[in-house]
Amino acid sequence: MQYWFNLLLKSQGRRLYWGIFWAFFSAVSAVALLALSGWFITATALTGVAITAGIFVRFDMYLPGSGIRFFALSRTIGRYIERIYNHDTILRLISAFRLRLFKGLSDLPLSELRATSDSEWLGKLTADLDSLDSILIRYTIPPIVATLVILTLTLFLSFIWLELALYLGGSMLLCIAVIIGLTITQTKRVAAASSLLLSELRADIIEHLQGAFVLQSQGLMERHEAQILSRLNCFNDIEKSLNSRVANIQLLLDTILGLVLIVLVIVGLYSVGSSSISGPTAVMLAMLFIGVSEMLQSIPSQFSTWGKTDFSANRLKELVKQPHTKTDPQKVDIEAVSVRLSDHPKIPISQKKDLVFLLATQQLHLIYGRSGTGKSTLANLLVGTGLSKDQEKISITVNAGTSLLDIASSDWHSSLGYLDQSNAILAGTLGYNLALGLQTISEGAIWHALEMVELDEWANDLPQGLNTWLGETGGKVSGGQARRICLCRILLRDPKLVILDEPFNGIDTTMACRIWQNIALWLDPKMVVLLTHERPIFLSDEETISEVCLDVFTK
Amino acid sequence: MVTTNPMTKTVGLPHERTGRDFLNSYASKQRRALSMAVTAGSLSTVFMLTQWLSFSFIAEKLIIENESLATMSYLLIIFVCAVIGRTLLTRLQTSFSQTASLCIRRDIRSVILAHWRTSSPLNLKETSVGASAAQWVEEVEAMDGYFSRYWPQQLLAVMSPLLILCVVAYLNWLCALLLLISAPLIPLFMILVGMGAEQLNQKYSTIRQRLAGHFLDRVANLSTIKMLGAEKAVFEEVGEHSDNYRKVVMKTLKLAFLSSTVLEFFTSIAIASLAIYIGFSLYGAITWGPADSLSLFTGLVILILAPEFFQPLRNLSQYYHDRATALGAANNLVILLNRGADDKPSNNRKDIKESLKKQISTSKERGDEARIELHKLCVAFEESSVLTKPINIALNTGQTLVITGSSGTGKSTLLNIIAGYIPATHGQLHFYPKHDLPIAYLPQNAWIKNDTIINNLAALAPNASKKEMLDALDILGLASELALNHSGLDTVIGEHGQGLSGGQMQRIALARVLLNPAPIVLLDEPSAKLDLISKEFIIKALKSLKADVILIIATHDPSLICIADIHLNLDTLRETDNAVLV
Repeated sequence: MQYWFNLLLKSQGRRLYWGIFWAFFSAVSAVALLALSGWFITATALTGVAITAGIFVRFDMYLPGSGIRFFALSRTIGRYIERIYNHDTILRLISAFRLRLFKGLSDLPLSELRATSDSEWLGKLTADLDSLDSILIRYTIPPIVATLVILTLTLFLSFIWLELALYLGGSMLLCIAVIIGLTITQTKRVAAASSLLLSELRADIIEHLQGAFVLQSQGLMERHEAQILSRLNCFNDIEKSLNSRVANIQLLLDTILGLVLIVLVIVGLYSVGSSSISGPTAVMLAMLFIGVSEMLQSIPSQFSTWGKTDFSANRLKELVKQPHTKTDPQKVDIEAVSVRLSDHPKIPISQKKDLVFLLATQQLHLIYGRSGTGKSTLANLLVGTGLSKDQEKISITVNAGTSLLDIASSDWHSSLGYLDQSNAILAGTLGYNLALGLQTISEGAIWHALEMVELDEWANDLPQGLNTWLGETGGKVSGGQARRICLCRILLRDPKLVILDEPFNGIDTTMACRIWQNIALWLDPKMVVLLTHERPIFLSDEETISEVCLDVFTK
Repeated sequence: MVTTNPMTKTVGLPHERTGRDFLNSYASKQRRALSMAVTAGSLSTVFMLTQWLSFSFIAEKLIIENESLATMSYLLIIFVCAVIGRTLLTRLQTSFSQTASLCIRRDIRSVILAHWRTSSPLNLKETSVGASAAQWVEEVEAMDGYFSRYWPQQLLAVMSPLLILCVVAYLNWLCALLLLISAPLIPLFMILVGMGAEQLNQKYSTIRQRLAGHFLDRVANLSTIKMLGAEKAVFEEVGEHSDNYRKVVMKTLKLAFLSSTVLEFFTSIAIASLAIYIGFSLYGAITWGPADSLSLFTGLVILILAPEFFQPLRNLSQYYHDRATALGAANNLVILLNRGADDKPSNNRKDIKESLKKQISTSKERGDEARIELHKLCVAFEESSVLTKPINIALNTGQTLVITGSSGTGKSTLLNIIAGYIPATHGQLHFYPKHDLPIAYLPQNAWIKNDTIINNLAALAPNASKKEMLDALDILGLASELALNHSGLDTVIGEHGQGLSGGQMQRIALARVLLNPAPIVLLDEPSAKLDLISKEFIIKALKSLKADVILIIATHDPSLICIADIHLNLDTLRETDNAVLV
């Protein structure tokens, strides 16, 4: 959590101080309103008694009266400003956290990223992120404001009665520290356990629902619920224990505050009896304390989420742990790539014999094999995502002698045009999706590329042309259109190496043939790797290609 | 708010229920604990009143009448008892309401589980399982605040101020009047402000959703973004969108905070004006009205009670967002639960079969033998979309039906109808000897849990021993493969079946059937997408299974058609008008 707190200080430092000031301002106004009112009433009562007794007393009614009105207003206004201001800070903070998280995620190696992009996990990510606002509104502002108010009160009281002020201030500060410490130590583990159980329950439920198809017809749904129910009972027990711990700490705090109030009342009234302080002051003391204890009351519930926030904070921190500086990518001049691999677990043929081939520029390389023969795995190796330093049986060498592992991945990616099997359409406009990552691109070039994939007419007919919103996760385009948009994206660039994994999935053969002819000129000077099930129809027999077959069983 | 609308009650149909009724019905199930919480809360108000009355009384005696503290020990004891009693009662209130909330959440969760148990898995597939799980986990959790805080508070917000008002009225009716006037103004202003906020909320909700979804979308597509070298641009974009999001949210928040500011304002103004009125009366500057009745005692009590009068209302407004979240969640749940009520296909199957009970009892018992009869059954998704001519088929234990046909002719639909997942709208389906025979169903993609193999097998064959499991795996050629390459029955299979091939997963699914053979076994394309080794094992296993069950297979595979006793070709069934086979 410290990591995120430092980030909070760094990004929102000044706003934090102002937020604390406003919170302090409204808290002091609230306490002052109560205290001044108590003093005022008692003082007027005494004066009234004196006047009816016929004694002449001078008492200014109007100054305290306007003081009361001032505090009434300043309390309201202060509170409004404080809430608006601090919520603005929270949103800025979440935005800063979000940016940091995004940066951290984008620094992750592509292979790790692929392994984790699961929608379930993603949804959790935003919930975790949102829960970090507790760091500001629960753990930072309230205790600081409470401390400040108590210090101010001690200072104020010390003019009236120094010893009492010091005792009261000291014990209140101690009380805050003890209650916060106690709440955190008593609830942290339980709260974290409850978070963990809840996420395990989610996994259980997902599994249960996925199995419903098989379980229901066999009448085994209820039986399969057993695990869920036992975990749910566990969760309920933990939640119960968490609740009762928090409630007990609350009871403790209330008791302490009650006892202090009792002591204060007795001491105050006793001193009035012995005339060391005046009656109005004694009442004011009690009222001051009521105001302060109202402020302290919410500490246990505020700190009871510490464990949950800590759980989220740690989980998120793991994602952002390795920030490193990045230089602008340099394109690699790829002339030749040689591949040698043996005994790869996901490429069956490599377990029988070494797979060796050479890719050369200005040439088309066809890699084919039935599903499950490791085409996409091979493509990922070429992209560099499936590679790691400890794999000795795989070597991919670029030009003469440079291992792919020694090339910065951003450099390599900038020289690469990779059409993978998933059609990633981002929520955004058509133009945005096409020009993604390109600094300068002319509209003419976009239309030309669209023409090559035969989407120009479709795009022209769209209500807002290139500015048409494509919907969340590309909901508004068909599979074939999405495929062509992804292809078009690559056509707008000038990669040295083009890897096309089943480029015409979801597109009918005649259109595939036409598009292949359209892009032939663009492909010509490049090193092209085409991965398909079998030798595709759109390749004419004359075309000179090098072939790699991944099938193990040949008929 | 507590009583349900009589109109909806008389209509009584579950799908007429709103989220509010849903919450209320669960609250009334825990009425005892909840009303105990309210009682404890009200009692603590009484203690609070005692506390301040005794305090003010002591102050008056001491300051005005100059009595010594020693003479008032009994008052001090009352004060101390009240302070302690109040804290204890608050603890009690929390404990009652939290227990109630916990019970309610558990009840709601079991109701959802029961709903899933009875509604067709095809309906479950309409929403993503992730969303359903979130509903079960997060949305139910979000109801906690409503039951443990908002619900008791909505009664306490009436009870406590009323009690306080009575005391104040007894002491000074003018002050009570002032409180009484300002109290109803608060909800009025809150409603006015709330209405504005609601409109604003609706106006911005789409923008907000889009903005919030943006981040998720970009993270989901991060690998593509990285490939295209667009991290920097997207990074700036995320920042910009976050900032826009902040601005939109701030607009709604400003209005939302107005309502609580109105409350604050009234509280402050009430305290200030009471203080000034009391002060001036005590001083003797105000002589009209009940000013004479004021003393330091009454003045202090009224002053201290003024903020306490507003506190329950302020709490209520604080908990108001609990209500909003719970209502949102409840509305979604009602939609979910009603979808089942509208068309519960599996119940439908039971209904049909229940109506046939008489027939069943008259038909003679066949011992272990099971029998399915399809009477003029048309394959149809729903009543309007009929895919085939009526089919008449009867199958006994030991017989195998193979369904073929090009894709889209309704092979899987027919299996789903037999499994009870789609209601048989045209024609009838009879099962003998009893109507709810267990049916083993193997879908095209095997269901594999993220668990050990032993638990995967036990999920569908709960009574199988370890030895039987190993034997079944052996028949399917898995025992050696798994023991060699992995850690045997304790091998953990990943969520997406990492570590196992598709063929191995399909064979594990079949092993479950061998371990716990249901009288009827449905197989959907059991041999598609399989390697040759897996396929051979599966065919071998099916041949051995065949004699003991009614086997129904939908397939393209000619090697499976061979084992059929009855072959149903849905392609031909479309053209020929007279339906086949008995």
